[in-house]
Amino acid sequence: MSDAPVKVVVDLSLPKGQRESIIELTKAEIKERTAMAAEAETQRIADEAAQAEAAATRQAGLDKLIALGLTEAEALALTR
Amino acid sequence: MTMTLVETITVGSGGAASIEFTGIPQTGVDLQLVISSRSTSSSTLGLIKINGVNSGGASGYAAKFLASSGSSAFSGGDSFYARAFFANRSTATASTFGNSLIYLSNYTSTVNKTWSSDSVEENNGTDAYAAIIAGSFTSTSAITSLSVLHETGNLAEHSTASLYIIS
Repeated sequence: MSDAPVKVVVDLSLPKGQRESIIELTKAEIKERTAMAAEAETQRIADEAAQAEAAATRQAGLDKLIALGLTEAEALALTR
Repeated sequence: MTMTLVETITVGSGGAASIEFTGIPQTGVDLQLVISSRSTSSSTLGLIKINGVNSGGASGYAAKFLASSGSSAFSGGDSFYARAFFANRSTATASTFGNSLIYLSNYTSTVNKTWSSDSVEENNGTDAYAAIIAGSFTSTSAITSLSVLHETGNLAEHSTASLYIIS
């Protein structure tokens, strides 16, 4: 028995009860799926880096405001 | 307005990479997908693929989202396929599935297609994602096929997708 991933194909032009087929993915589809997952992972890492950078920039700004004499609550109020 | 259930598919033992509705009847105005899904991977993101078009092709996908992880909110844009819903990740509370509703307007028209979705991940944990997403698909062709898949991993057994035609 093959371990290839499968897809459920539902041909709605056929009568009910005859529509559903379980089909193994082609090599091209598996390749596309692998590429998609890799691209998604790359994007996820980039998104996390961007979020971390934004958080660090925000904290640096807050620290500067606090260094100027504002309380943390006052500094946070200004950023809302 | 009439809302007609065209088909409901339940993923069987072993899971499936995708559910593909083909030969969609061109008899309605709008389409609605109702998805209950769980992924076999740690990713919560679910995609739809319209007319078999991949991300990065001549026909493009675009979306704007407003989302929350349960502990923080975030928003932004996206053009990677049509990231359209949240599924339960494999580590979410056992035997629970994400809930999603995707509405595609004027699917037989000759103008670009637009869709909206709201979805939640069901998870009794620190993170449980939820989102409202607005998306578009640049194509003047009628929608004749729709695929439901996850960004990574398979649709786990017992995941379901129902397609409705609104006329």
